[in-house]
Amino acid sequence: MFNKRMAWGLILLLGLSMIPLVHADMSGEEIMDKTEAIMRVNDGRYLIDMTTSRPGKEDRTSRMQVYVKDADKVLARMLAPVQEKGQGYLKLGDDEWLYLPNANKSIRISGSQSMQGSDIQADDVLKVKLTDDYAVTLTGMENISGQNYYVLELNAKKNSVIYSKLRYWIKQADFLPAKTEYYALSGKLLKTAVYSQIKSLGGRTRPTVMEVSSELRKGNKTTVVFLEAEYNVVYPDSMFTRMALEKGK
Amino acid sequence: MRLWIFILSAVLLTGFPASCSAASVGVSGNLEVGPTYNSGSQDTIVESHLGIKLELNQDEKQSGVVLLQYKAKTPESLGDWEDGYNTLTVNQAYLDITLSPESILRAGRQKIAWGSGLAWNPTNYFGADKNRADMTNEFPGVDAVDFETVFGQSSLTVVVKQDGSLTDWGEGVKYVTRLGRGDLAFSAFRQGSANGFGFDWATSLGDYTIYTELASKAGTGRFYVTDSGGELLWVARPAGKRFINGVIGINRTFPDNVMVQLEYYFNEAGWDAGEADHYARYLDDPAHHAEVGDLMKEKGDLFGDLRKKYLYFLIRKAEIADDWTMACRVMWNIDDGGLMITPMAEYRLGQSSQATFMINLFTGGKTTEFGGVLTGTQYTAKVSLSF
Repeated sequence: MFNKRMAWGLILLLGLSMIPLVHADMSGEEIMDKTEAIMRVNDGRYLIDMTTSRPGKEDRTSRMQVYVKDADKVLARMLAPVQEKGQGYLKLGDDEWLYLPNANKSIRISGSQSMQGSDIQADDVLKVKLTDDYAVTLTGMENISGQNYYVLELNAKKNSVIYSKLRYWIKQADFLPAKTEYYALSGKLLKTAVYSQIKSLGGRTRPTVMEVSSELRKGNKTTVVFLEAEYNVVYPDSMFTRMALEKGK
Repeated sequence: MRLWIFILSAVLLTGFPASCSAASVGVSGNLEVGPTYNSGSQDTIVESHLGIKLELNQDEKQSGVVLLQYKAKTPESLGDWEDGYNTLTVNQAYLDITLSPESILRAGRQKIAWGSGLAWNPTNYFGADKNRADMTNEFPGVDAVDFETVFGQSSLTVVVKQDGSLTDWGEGVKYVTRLGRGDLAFSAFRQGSANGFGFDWATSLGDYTIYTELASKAGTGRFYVTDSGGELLWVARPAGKRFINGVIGINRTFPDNVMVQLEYYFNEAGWDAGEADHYARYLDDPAHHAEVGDLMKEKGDLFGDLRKKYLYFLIRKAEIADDWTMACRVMWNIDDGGLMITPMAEYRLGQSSQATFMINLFTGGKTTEFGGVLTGTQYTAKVSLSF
């Protein structure tokens, strides 16, 4: 006999079965937007530790405070270790500068410049919104250990970006990133990032550890740990200027 | 100005501002020790540099700095050239006053570093000259008041600099704006009978950074040696005669932590071949060494760009093998053909320390700028520690 409980169960079953179909209609950009909405700090700050590991060598850790405005203005300040303290990076649109306290000047840099000798490039930290620079395509789905993942391919729209292509694995259930592959113009795989340690950070549940492994030098890796994050804090424009970068404001 | 520095130093050392709300004094420093063997004079000197930096922080932002530098060299070598064997200098001592979110006033002894160039900065009218043999060698800052304000994509900086006496002042102004993918700056200065103006432009395109600076100056008192009827004399160039110097450079980053830099410098007021020859003959007499040493200390811009055209090249690769970073720097005096070649290796000892090995090789005839260097090839090894 068909009763109310059976009816609700049927409705629920139908609803659940619709979910993959609904997501399958999503474009690559829409999926990327959802991921970036979780991961990206449009206005706010985050504090990270960046640990560079080399086989058989002592790890070295740098701490960096990063401030973001409008997802387009970024100021990053080194807090530790002592010989790097005071160095800073500024990004305004496609333009980036590095401040060297010993020289008391900021110089233009390219986004491909390595940060503090790590496997992380300046653009990896300073570029906030990937969809501005890359065309995103959903290339398929993969099932890994029972979890469904979207596989996205990001192809550079501009010459100013440092990677010609990225491949992203994003978990279908919650749009959290799982893995990224970074490719050079030649098609060579440069490095791979794996995301883990999903926790609440500043009120958002997201991966708090990103491990970047060099494909050019096996065994070399840099681990970025997100220690703190604050979202929806609007900083003044005056904070994202070369004057602020050079005079420690 | 020295009294000002003393007061500021005392304030920071006693931590007086720490009693004010949200203010603190941070201490950091670096120690560098190592020998240099001079093959020409066949002697070894040991240099020590100790830098102590006191930072006044207010509300977690830096608002003042005192940088003390102690330098020692032992044993005595070419003593009449050197800057002294035990010197304690206040390299920097300034306070930042935030007038508004867009304007900052910095007063005191400070490092002023205008211009995009690495090896040369023609538009850095007030900045201390670089030691091109060792660009990490700190020079004292200048006593000045620096006002900077930002508006939109632009900024305006005005510097008023004191030079020795209370009546000897210089003024400079710089306007910087973002133009397309580049930074464009116009600047000018005046100090006593010297004056000048110039521009500076830099941009990054992909993996390349390109920059250029050009300055026109007059009355800056460049000296040269002239032969006056068999007597060698130091003379200053005519005060009103204007000359141009400029730099153009490019650097590129490559995958795997490689960086290459190339910079071309020209200087209309540089010495010509005849003046260089007179200078070499002047140095043949050791009795002139003390006088030249004093002029170097007083005039500052005597060396490093003696001639008219130079080319500078740097290649650097970090992590060439584990904790090693290798670099090679070449300075080519295009006029006389002499070269200064500096291969370097840095080894990371720990999180805050490193060892550096460096050779300064000089090539060229006796009358060339680099071939005439009396130290001969220099071999340096040093350990540095940050704390």
